[in-house]
Amino acid sequence: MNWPRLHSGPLTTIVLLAVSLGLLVANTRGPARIDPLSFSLLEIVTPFARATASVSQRITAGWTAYIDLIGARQERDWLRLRLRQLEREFDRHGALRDENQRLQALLDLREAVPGQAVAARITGADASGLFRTATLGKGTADGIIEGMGVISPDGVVGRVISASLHASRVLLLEDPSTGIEALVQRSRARGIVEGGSSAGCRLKFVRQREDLVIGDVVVTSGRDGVFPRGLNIGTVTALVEEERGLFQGAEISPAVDFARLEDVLVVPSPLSETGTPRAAEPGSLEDAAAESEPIPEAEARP
Amino acid sequence: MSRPLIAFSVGSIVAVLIQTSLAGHLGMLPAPPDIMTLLVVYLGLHHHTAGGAIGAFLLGYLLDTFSGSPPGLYCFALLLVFGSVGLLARRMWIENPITRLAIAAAGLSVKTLVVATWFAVAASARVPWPVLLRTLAAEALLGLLVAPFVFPLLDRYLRPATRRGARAAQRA
Repeated sequence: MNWPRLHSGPLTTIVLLAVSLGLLVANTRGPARIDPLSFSLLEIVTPFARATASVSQRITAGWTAYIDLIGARQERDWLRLRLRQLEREFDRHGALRDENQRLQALLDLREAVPGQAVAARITGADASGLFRTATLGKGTADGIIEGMGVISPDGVVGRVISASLHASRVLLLEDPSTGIEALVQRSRARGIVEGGSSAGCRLKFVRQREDLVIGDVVVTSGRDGVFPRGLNIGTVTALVEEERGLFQGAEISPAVDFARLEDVLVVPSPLSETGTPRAAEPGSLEDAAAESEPIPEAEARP
Repeated sequence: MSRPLIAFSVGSIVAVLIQTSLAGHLGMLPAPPDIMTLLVVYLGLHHHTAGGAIGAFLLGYLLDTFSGSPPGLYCFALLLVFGSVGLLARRMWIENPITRLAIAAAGLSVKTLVVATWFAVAASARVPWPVLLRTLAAEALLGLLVAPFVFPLLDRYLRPATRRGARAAQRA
């Protein structure tokens, strides 16, 4: 009597297993989907699922916003750090670019200057402040000797006044004791450039009858045995009457900005060992100056 | 409607909601915990009757409805779980939590095995086995992790009062 009741569980399980297997086989093999209960089950569960989804979406949105906030904060800190790094790198690249341009200009100048010019870096300014001198990081070991001219891509810098094995001192163009024989580029009027004026330098001993106007470019004459001919010295900013009336003079603004000067070229004397002027090399500044007067500024200032 | 039936219906809906909505939206789990199988294991342990078998079938069908499987796959798998757990339950002392956990692990393994076998034998498309096995393993492991919390809840609402009384008396 109790057999069916006792075995109803296993029997039902076996029957339902057979039904499930039949359903599975039919749905796996056949193209049509045999699914008698899913419509009802979906309808029963969907309202609950919708409510749950709404709640869980809100929870998820809140959680995601919180995570995003943390992420945004971390990202902001990271971006700030990266910005500082990039700014430093940008500054470094800017400095390298400037140095590259400077050295390129120096290299161009070196190729234009006759003889074996020596590139050197300025390592110090005048210790006293009373004089206008600078120290170079190269000396006699590099071929620098006393009396050599010092130039930059902008123009004349000064003259070497002393040299040790690995350093040398340069008397700058601005110093009152400097004297360079010069030419007015436009009119070819001759004179002497000395330092120590309010503008920086002064052009002196230009004959009264010579043509000299404000804005004239003053260049080296090449006759002093220190600098090649045609190097830019500066620009006339004011005319000055000399005391005795035989000569006229002018205030000159130097072409070189001495405060920003970093790299220079020390040029050998254009005079040969015998004391006679050396022949200008083709393509050099001297050659250019000799061929066409006045010298184009572009060539004097590469 | 009896209280266990209502509790079972509510439990089934909650289980399917957890597996379909909550776990998916939280997005932190690799797979939803297999609570449906735990329910079937519980039915196999304590309700190895015709009603329990129908319950297991319906739970399987519910899972089939809310998953991409062909209708019948989870029905078959969960009924096998139900049957095998029922056979085990007759031969073991099932009041021990450790035993119940071990039986839950066995039930979860049976279900995983059935599904994997179906994929191996009958799935027409190319099966991404690493993903499939990882998901099945994660489902089973997470199910096993939540089992110690699910079974006491089911005890509270699905257990016949007489057995609860017997258990209390045993404790006393």
